[in-house]
Amino acid sequence: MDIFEAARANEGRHRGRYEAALAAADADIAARLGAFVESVARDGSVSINMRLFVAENFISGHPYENIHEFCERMAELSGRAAPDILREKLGSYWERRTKFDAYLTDSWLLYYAALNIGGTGATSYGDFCVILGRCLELHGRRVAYLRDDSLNGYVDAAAGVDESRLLADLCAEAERVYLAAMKHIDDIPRTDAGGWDSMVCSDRSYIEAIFDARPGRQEVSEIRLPASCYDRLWDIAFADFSRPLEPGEKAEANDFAQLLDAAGTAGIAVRAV
Amino acid sequence: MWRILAYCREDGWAVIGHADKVSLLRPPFARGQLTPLDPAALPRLLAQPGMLCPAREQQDHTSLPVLIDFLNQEILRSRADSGHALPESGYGPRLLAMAPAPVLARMLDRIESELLGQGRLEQARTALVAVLGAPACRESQEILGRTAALLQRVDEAVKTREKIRADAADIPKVYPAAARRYGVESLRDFNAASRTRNPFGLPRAA
Repeated sequence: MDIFEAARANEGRHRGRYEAALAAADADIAARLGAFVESVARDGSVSINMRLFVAENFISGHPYENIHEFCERMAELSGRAAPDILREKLGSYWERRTKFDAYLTDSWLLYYAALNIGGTGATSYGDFCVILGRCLELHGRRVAYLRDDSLNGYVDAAAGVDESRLLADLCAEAERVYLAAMKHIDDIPRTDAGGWDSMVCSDRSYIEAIFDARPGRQEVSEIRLPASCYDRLWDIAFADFSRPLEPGEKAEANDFAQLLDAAGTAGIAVRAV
Repeated sequence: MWRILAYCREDGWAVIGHADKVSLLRPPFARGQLTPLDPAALPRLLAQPGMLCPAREQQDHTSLPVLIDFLNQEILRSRADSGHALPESGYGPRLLAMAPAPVLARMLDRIESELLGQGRLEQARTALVAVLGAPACRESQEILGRTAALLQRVDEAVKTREKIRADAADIPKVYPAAARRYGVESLRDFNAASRTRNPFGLPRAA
């Protein structure tokens, strides 16, 4: 399946569902929904949560790799077959992942990110939330959005792909605001506007963005990280004056220094949230 | 038995299996914190760049400290393998050179309370010199002034310590048993450090 064509074929569907919900809602709730849609339209961007050393490599100009590119590189280094490395890397999730990949056209060319309207995203994948910009299509690539994480939302334990749900949820960039509104239609009225960013993108839930061209550091508008992580990294700088650092701390201090240096040179803000 | 299910050589993040639980372990390892992993998050975490399954002989470890030692050594090896071995030292000054003003202000608080306050004068001086070298320090009169004032306090404390050491010539007479046991120089150092922190100095023998 060409995921981008399928997303385009849904044009009007998410907007139509949203408008129907809006028409049926009380005035108060309709106002909240309208404010939410405005917020996504104004602040929406696409982000990838990266671990520090991955973010540092990316901002320093090394290519960001998807899982297939990483396994190909490891295969070149080790002399082993890339599919074997992929299977070993994913362990018990290999079957679900390969079934989903086999279902998509040119899956080895795809990159995965998330819709983000503020905050630090899904930090369990990495503290450094790299914001790629408001509109990925501006950079000439194709983008599709999914209501939920592709593996957890659309592939069952027996590695079967829920095609009808997948087709119903796929969404093109122009309608992502309505996809987000419909996903959170019950949460929006009872969630303070200040909490909408973590409602849209966090470890618990996110709207997946899938695109077909490698992201470049020139697209990065900002890097956000949790204040607790930011403070902890500066604590390592302080600790260096008072005790020996362990190798893990040295690696973090080294990578953080290089990230700040590269981000400064590229004019990318690194911001604690 | 502690098993590494997947890990990244470059940064030490590791998915650990122990006692039928799956957790995430990440630096700083000194905290030894294992974060329980949501099974739903595992596929995407394993798909992250750098995450690999360890070789069979590297999977199982007899204790958490042994496993952490393995991860630390792997970090060092991977950096050396890539031609970017981690420097032995200099991380503090390197980072502070890029620190914004609010971070420098927090550093000064800690230097004052944790280093100067505990009589760790040489460490306090090194840290303050690093703060002084940061562009953000030179751009802020408040931080520059505070850094200079703290450096002056360090200098005064060093002078006080040296004077106390010089004045402590009679320590072996006052504390002959301690002098025999610990050595005269050790007692002078201890007295100087105590006096720097505490204006009343060593308690006198009754």
